[in-house]
Amino acid sequence: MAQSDVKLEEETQASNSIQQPPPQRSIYELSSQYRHWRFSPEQLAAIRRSLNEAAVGVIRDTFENDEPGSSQHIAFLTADEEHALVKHYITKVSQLCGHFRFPDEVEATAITYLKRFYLKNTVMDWHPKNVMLTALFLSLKTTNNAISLEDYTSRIPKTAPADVLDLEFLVAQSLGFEFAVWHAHRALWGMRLDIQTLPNVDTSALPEAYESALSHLKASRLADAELIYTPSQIALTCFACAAPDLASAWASAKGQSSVLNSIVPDILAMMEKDGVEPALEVVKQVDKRLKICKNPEKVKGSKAWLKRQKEVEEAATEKRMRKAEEARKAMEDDPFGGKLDEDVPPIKPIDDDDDD
Amino acid sequence: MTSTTAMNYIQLEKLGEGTYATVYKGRSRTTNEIVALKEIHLDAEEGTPSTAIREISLMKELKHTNIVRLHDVIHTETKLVLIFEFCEQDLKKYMDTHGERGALDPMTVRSFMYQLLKGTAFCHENRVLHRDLKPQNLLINRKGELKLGDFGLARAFGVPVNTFSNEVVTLWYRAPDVLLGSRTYSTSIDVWSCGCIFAEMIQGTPLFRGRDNQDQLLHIMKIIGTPSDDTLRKVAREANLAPDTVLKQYPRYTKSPWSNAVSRGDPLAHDLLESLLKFDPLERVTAADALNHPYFTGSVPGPIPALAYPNQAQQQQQAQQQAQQAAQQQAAAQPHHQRHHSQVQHQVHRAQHPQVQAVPPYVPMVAHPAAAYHTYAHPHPAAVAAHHMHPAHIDPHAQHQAYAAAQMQQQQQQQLAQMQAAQAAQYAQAYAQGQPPYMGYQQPPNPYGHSSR
Repeated sequence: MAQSDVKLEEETQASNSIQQPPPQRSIYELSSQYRHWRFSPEQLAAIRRSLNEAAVGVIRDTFENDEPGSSQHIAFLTADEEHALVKHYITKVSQLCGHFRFPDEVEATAITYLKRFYLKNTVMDWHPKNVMLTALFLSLKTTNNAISLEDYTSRIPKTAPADVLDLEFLVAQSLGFEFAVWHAHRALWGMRLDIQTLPNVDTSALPEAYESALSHLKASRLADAELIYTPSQIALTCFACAAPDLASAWASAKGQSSVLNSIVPDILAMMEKDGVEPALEVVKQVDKRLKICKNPEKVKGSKAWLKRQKEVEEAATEKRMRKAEEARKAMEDDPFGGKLDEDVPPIKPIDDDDDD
Repeated sequence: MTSTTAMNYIQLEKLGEGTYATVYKGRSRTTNEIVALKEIHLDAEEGTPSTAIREISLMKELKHTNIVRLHDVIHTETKLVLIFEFCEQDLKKYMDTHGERGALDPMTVRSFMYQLLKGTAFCHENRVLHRDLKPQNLLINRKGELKLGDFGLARAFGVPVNTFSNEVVTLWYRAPDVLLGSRTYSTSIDVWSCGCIFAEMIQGTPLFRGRDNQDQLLHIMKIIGTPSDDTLRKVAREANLAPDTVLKQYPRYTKSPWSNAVSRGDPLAHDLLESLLKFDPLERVTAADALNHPYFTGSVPGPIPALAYPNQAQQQQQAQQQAQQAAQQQAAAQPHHQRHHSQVQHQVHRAQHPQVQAVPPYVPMVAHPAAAYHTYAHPHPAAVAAHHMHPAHIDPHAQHQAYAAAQMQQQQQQQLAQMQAAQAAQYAQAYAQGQPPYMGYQQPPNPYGHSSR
């Protein structure tokens, strides 16, 4: 590998220098994924726990306000149960993508969106069935594979265009509009290309090894690996599962052999533990309980929903009144108002009632 | 998480209509910062347009001085509003108002061209094609910083490049391979646009002004010459086009010297133009490599605060001019191979470590030429050598020569500073007498030998 040789030489020279420049940041390190979407397993657990607790608190209060004592017999979901439901819908993304024959890029991106969405929201507010459909539609747009909404929903049973569009902004906002995702399958492809150029490596088994690694990689999408590890670490793990000698040849050519002993076993353990679909019985049970414990304010037509809508409308009306009053006052107070108006560029706040 | 709403901004006057949106000037209620509000109308059928989604997606990843910054995204019931950093003018308007019949002075051209290539190189490094580079999409702020804007047509590219739409890039800035029908174009398409913009900044008028695809091709051939059938066949093959669709009977134009077509440019500018505007996309220089061209030698071209401080700007241009001349003279005095390498390091280092600069980039253009050099303190030679951009871009000897060359460069800087100081007085006098700064300018010998005259 000419490139890695040069790198080594560069490193040697750099270590000789007295005054080291700030380390060069790779493109990956500048990405939004690196900056905002990497966590430790403990952080992930804490985020999910606190989201769950907050949601339970709010929903309990809503029930109590509606009818005191009504929340006592409700079995709210735990963070683990929420997560199991999300995982179930990750498998649904793969099924849909197979049905539509969407490219791998679309599938991987939609799964990432779904995972990231539930690090900002809870399933008791937003059911993953709907979020999944929106996340997939959004990933079609962000990966340049857009199809018309009509084509999309008409081929999915019991789905109307509004089901997808209603959540589009919520999902986009929860993702922080950071749509670009670095995927492990791209890293895996890069490794395949790299290995082809390695000297003294028997590449006859490479195509088969690659396919096998890819199937490991698809399984890894069920686990949290992508929220914790880099795409290339995950890809190397999958290659190591499929063809240990090819993986170690690649790693040593890159001067990264230590990763095989330090990080790869961790990812492997995670894939073995979490890379499996949750049992259907468990999912069904969770979904059944979710019907009772979901946030009534988010259920169209429910008492709490109507009440919330009324509050929102009242607040909006009041805001409009206040704005109109302020505008009227401003006109009266301004001694230069009137004639000069034509020269002044119109200053108008954007009409927006989306305050929360 | 975005907690701001559109209420946080006051909408001021309309700035223009984008490809799929309307742009207003706006002011933040909280910080008073002036911003650009790009309003995107939501499609009732399809939701957020994928062009908008694509632009947001790319802009969230591209954080660079020479790329317009996306601050925030806001949603109202009927529209999506992108909050961008505000720039006073686009390059088109800048040329109209600041240029001499549209032509900018050589220092400004060099500064803008450097920034344009830097922004473009950053996009390409991030695997993003802009696909619509033209003066109207390049924004200039009051600090004289140039920023790539309007990524509505931009898209990410992978390896291998997929096939793209053929309807990209405003006709006058469209590469010949795209005009021939290529859909497999890559970064070279933006490089061609950069070349067209470069010529336009120097000369004041667009370089190739065709009426339609065919006419545009003829305009190009009239200047750069009709390519040989071999070249046409090669371009067709690379673009997966049937050769007979490409091999039409074109008039046999011979190459016109750049000194005719772009008469205001100096030989180094012509040489850079030549490498940017190659008919064959594979022969076109990359944006990153173009930054290392001798045209950019000398004091590092930076933004010109012409809008904010017109008087200073004059002085600065002058100082910069002198620095460049001194550097070019110095460069001419060096053996060829050595000169090239030391330039490579200097530029590469800057391109990769903008944070090394101790001061904002628009400050160093001070009136005293020697000071300009001190501000860009050179890093330790070994550190320079350690940060080559890409090994493949530099010939194999560069690694070994880097250290020696960088060391020599350090020594020469001191001499250079003295030369510059001495020349400063001379040029200041000339300037005071009303001579434009480039009068009396000694043309350095063409380093490549193949003179275009």
